[in-house]
Amino acid sequence: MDNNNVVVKALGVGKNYGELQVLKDINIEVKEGEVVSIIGPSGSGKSTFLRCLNYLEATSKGEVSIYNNVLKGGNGTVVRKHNEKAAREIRKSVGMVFQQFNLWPHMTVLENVIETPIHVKKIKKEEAVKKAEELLRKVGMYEKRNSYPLQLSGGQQQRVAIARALAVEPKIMLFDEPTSALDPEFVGEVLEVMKGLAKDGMTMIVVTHEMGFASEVSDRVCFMDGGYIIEDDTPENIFKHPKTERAKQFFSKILNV
Amino acid sequence: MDNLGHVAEIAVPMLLQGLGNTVIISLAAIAISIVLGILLGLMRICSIKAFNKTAGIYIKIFRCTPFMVQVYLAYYLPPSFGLKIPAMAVGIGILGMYTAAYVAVIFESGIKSIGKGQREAAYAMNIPWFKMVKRILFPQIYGIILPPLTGQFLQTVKDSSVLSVITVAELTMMTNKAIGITFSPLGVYLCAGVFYWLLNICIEILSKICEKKAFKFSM
Repeated sequence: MDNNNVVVKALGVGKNYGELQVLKDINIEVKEGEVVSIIGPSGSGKSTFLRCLNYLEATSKGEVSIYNNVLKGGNGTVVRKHNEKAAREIRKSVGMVFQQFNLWPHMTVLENVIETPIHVKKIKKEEAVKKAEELLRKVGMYEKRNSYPLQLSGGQQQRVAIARALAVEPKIMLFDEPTSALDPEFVGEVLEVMKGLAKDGMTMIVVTHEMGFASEVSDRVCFMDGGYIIEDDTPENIFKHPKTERAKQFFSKILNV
Repeated sequence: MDNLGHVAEIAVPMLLQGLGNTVIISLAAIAISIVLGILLGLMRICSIKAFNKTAGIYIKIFRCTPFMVQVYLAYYLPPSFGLKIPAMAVGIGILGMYTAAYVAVIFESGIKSIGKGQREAAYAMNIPWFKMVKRILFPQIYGIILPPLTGQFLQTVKDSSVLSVITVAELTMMTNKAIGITFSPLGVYLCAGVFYWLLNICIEILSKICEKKAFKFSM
């Protein structure tokens, strides 16, 4: 693999919650502009791994490196201090979209989007508003800019959440099951926005149950099970010719539904 | 009738003087309790263990001992170190510190009632912890904690009557004084009760006004 434009690297990442080992040994490299979908059964560690990438979870072992900022495994004070510093750097270039949207309900759509640009990046308000309106147009939510999140449908909220994440001008976007909490009728509009991002060349790591999206949009699909990535290949190969018995089983089950 | 007029003439000015002091004591103690209580609450929810523990011990001490014992201790402790503090100041201080323990718990519970997703969205965007509490969490809990806070402040006004035991000339002490002069306990106590009631009604009205400004989850 061309090492020059590898922007996300995980090396031997493990994560325990007490006795429970959620991640055992995760190794993956993601190149600039790549769209990688992570699929697999519930409890396989997909979301946990994604959350380790921007340090919402600390890893127990191994190493995560994003644009050469390294998050180390372990939980000593020195490691934690180092990781907190690295995480601040990483989060400057990594946006995240959550399953439950996590919009701030006391702020309007527009206020949600301009919060970080104004209060963290210290951008002037007029400038931030202009940029935010542009992003809201992009996700088709400009008309609702003065609404409150709870007045919107799930799909609309998730599109706002995407705009909010984009407002910090990330180079990488993490999606944690972005359509799992949506009514089926709203899934399409969110996937459309994500497809648009992929087309614009955004590096994306997407934990998803949307096999259609995974096969259509991603450059690579990782199949996770029991805390390991057991297959990492093109969508074509993964879906049509899965190598492992576990993946075959999984696909046969979800295709039967 | 003559007698009642006579009692009122003597008692009401005394009670009004006491009421004035009760208002000052209560407002000052509430102000102290808000500042100190939020500080303690922040210490409870932050990730630094030493802060959690210290605030926890403070809350346990002040919530688990009788207020009157605290008042006596606060009154007799400084002189044993050679410090002379006016009774009024001691009263305000201890009432503020006592109420702060309750304010801290209300604040902590409010913060904990907000799902962790709200925090994570802020962390993922590099919003610093204090800013996250102030701008993301606090506006959401404000409306939730206001009713229990108000209840606590009503209690603070009532608890201020305990300060009569350390010679603070507040409403209850002045009431007892007035009774000593007039020998008319029923009328004077009734009057004192009405004064306390009026003061607390004012606090309730104020709270209702503040509540209107709060963010509501149901639209």
